[in-house]
Amino acid sequence: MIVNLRENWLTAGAAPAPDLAPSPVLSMGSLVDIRGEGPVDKPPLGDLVAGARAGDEQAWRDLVGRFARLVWSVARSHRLDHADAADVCQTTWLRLAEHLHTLRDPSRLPGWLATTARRESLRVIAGRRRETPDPLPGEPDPDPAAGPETMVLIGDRDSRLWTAFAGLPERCQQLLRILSTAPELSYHEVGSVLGIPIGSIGPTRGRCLENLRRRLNPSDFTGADFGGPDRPRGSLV
Amino acid sequence: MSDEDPAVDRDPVLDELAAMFDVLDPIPDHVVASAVAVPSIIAAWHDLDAGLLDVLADTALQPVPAGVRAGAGPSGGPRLVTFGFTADPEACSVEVEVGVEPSGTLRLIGLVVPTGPDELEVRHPGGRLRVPVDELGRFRVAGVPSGPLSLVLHGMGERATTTDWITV
Repeated sequence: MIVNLRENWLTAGAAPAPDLAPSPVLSMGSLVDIRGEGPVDKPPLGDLVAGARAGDEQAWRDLVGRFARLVWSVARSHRLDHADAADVCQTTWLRLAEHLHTLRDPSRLPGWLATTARRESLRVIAGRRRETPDPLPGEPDPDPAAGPETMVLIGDRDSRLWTAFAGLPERCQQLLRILSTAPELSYHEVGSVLGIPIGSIGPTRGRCLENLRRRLNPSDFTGADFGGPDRPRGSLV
Repeated sequence: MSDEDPAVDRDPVLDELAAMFDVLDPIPDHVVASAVAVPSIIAAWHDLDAGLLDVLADTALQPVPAGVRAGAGPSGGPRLVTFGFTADPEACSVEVEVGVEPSGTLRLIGLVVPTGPDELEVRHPGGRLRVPVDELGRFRVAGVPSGPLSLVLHGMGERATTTDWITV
C-alpha cells in the first residue's frame, strides 16, 4: 500500500513561506529564453504560484521556465529515454496543475516537483516492459533533433567532461546531475529525491566530484583547474 | 532554505556539468511546449470536478521479489492501481488493472466502488476515451496510449469525480 504522503507534505507548512530568493548561481540558460527575453529579475516564487493558481498563463509559463530543467533532469537521471522522460515531465506538470490550489508553501515547490518526477520515473521504470535505450553510460547522446550547429557547440571540454561523467558509477551520475542542474533543491530535498540520507550527501558529493576530476585529469590530478581536492567545502561533510 | 543549501557551496564543476547537459541533453522543445499547454488540457474539467481521487496504491511502486518480472504485481500478476480519497478511502475507490496490448497500447480493466457512475472517461494529453460502467461497477477500456492518464467518473450527479494523473 502506497500511502499518499504528498498531499500532507505539500499542505503541512502553514507557516508563511520563506521567500525563495533567486539564486545567483542559477544559470537557467535557454529556459529563461522561453519567452525570448533573456535573463531577467525573477518574480518571487509565491507570486508565480498565486498567479498560476488564478489562471495567469504567463505565471504558469514562468513556472515551467524556471523548473522544466529540474523535472527533466530528475527523469533523465533515472536513465529514462527521451520518450519516457517526456511522459514523466508531462505527468508531473499535470499533477502540479491539479494540486496548485493546495500548495500552501511555495518554497516547497522545487522539492515537490522533484519528488513527483522521481515517483513517476519509478512507475515508468517498473511499468514499462519494453527495453529502454540507455544513452548515458556510452557515447554522448545529443538530442537527435539537434542540428550540426549543436555538434559544433560540443567543444572539446564538454566532450571530455561527458566522457568522464559517463564513466562514473550510476549513483554518482544521478547525484551530480541533480546537484548541477537543480540548484534550487536543498540537500534535504536532494536526499529525499534520491533516497540518500541527508548526512551522506556531502561526503558522497565530494567523492563523486573527486572521481570526476580524476577522470578528467588522470595525469595531472592536482585539481588546479577546479580549486583542488582539498578546497574547503564550507559546512559540507 | 536550509543552511545545507547546495548553492552556498557551489563547486564550479557543477556549473560546467550543468552547461554540458544543456548542450548534450537539453530539454526537447516539445517537452516544454507540453508543460506550457497543461492548463489548457485540464481547464475544461475544473467546472465539472467534484473531487480528486489520489493514487492510493500502485503495484509498480512496490518492491518486486526476486524472480518476479518488474512491473508486475507482488505475485507476478499485472499492474494494479488503486485510486481513492486519501482522507476517506472508503468513500469512493477505483481499482484498475493495467495490461499491455500486442500493439503496445494499454488495456484497462477496472472496478468502481460504490456503484453509481455509469460512464468512465480516460483523459490523456492527446484526447479522451469514454466507456460504459456496468451495474456492478466494472469497466474495460482498450487502446489507451501509454503516458499520463487520469480517469473521470460520470453519472454520480452533475459533477464528475476525477483521479489524479499517473504515468502508465
